[in-house]
Amino acid sequence: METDSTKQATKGLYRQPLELVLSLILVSIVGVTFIQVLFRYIFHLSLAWSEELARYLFLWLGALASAYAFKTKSHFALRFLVDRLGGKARDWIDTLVVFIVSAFLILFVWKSLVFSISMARQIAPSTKIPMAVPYSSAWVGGTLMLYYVLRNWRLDRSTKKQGKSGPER
Amino acid sequence: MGLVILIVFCAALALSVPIGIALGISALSGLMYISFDPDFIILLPQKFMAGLDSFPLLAIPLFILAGSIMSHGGIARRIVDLTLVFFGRIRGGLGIVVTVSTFFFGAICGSGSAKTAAIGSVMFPEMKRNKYPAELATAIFAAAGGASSLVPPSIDLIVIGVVANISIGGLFAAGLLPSLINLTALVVLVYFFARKLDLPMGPQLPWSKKLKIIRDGILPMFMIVIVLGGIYGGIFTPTEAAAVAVVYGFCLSFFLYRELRPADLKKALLQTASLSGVVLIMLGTASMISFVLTFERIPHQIAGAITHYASNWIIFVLFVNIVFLILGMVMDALPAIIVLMPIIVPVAISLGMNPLHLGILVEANVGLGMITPPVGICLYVACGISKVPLEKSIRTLMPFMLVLLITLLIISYIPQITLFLPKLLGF
Repeated sequence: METDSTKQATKGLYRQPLELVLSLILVSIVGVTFIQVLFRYIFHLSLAWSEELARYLFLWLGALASAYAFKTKSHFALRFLVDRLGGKARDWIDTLVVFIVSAFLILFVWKSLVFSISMARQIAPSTKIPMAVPYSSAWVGGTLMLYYVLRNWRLDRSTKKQGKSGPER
Repeated sequence: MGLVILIVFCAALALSVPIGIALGISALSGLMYISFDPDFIILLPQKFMAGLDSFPLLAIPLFILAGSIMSHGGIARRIVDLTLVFFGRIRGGLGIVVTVSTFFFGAICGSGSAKTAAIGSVMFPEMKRNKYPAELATAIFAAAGGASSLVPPSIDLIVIGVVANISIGGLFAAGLLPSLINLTALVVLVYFFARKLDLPMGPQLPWSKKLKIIRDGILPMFMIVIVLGGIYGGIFTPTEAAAVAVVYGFCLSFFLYRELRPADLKKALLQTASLSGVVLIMLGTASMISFVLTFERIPHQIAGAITHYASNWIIFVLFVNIVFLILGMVMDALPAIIVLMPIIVPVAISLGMNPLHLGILVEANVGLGMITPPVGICLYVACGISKVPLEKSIRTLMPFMLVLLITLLIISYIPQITLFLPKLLGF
């Protein structure tokens, strides 16, 4: 399921910033966590900042990877009811779903932005990063999710207009 | 208010809103029901963040990445070859090898669908050459993938540990014997199928080749020792074990075997990102729902209702099984785990159950849910590999589901199986 769509996305990868950032975050999480083990056992020195940094990277991973999963159409959705319907009704429902999802995401982005701003003055205890940095992942991720939801919708519509069937999930 | 949330959630699901968003929308509807104050909604992003902000959860993308690197880097192939040496000469050997190697691969890789994909794509051409019916191969891939979700370090076990506040190391230890029961049951079933259909044995290998395969397979197997031994021995946390697994797998397949090309690494990273996104958005939005429900004391009411009807653990376990089986059939189990586990764990404890036992039997349900139509992720992946239409695979899959249902009941009603190892290891 996700393999086919990721295969497509792999072509010409590093011109794609989202994919690049996601890969970098993953590699950094591995690195930070591995260094934490290394320091504890080899240098007998437990790091104070590594766990916190890894957690904040993980928040960014969560938000951006969710957006990426919209791009690759990997999110779980119950299609078997809607797919029973005929073409016209299904198109109508798909548009309705895009509308509902977008409305929720707009609200989420707006409130996340307010939340990050209210956290701007707080400082993380051991890394000394402003808390707005990890918390901004929510509105950045939400905006990207919105972008990919709308983009997929537009692409699906234009392929349908050309008389081709839309990409299968 | 619980009813409002439930109706909104079901309606959103039926319309095919992605589950992660459907959870968020129903949480939002619950919040609006409590109060129309727009300032209240700021709790949604806050709870989304709080749901993800936990170090143990980091193990999820890391174990997915470890599995992904290993299936691209030729490690899945080596595990298959190794099991072929030991189990290949039994009737139905290839089918048994699929089952056993999926379980072994599961001890490194966290995701059920990734296991099914990794082993299935390696084994399917071989099984086809040996005249296995495609439906049977599909059923074996799916059943092994789903049933091995009890093998540590599975993603759902990590989530169960985090949301229900159970020791993840303890769950990893508790899952071992039940997964062995699942494995044995599946192997026996495959053997019976092989007898009935007169399937061939695996290839006869010369001793020199066998020794080479064993030597080749030792290092991948050593990974299991590092991961599980490290966690059980208290050397590192599950998250750290996952990071070590990624680094070890990368070194093996990049420097030693030289099968992982940079392009494969990119593919592995992006696959991990995509799968993590699917899991993490549900974790975030399900914790929004958990918060709204708790705010209205609904878990308390549900728990009260459960204790009212289920006066002892035997009925309670039956109830838990039924609920999770039904939920597992129609949706991904993760949201159900996140929302329900915190509710049922206190009830289980009050009925004298060990939370580890509850976690494992819920996970056994989840594994079964991965192969039951209409929504079974392992079944989808297996059908994708064999190109068998989903409807056609169900008939052959039936006996597998039945066998796993029986092992589920065994795991449910003989807690000693689950609790023996954790007690031995002192969790």
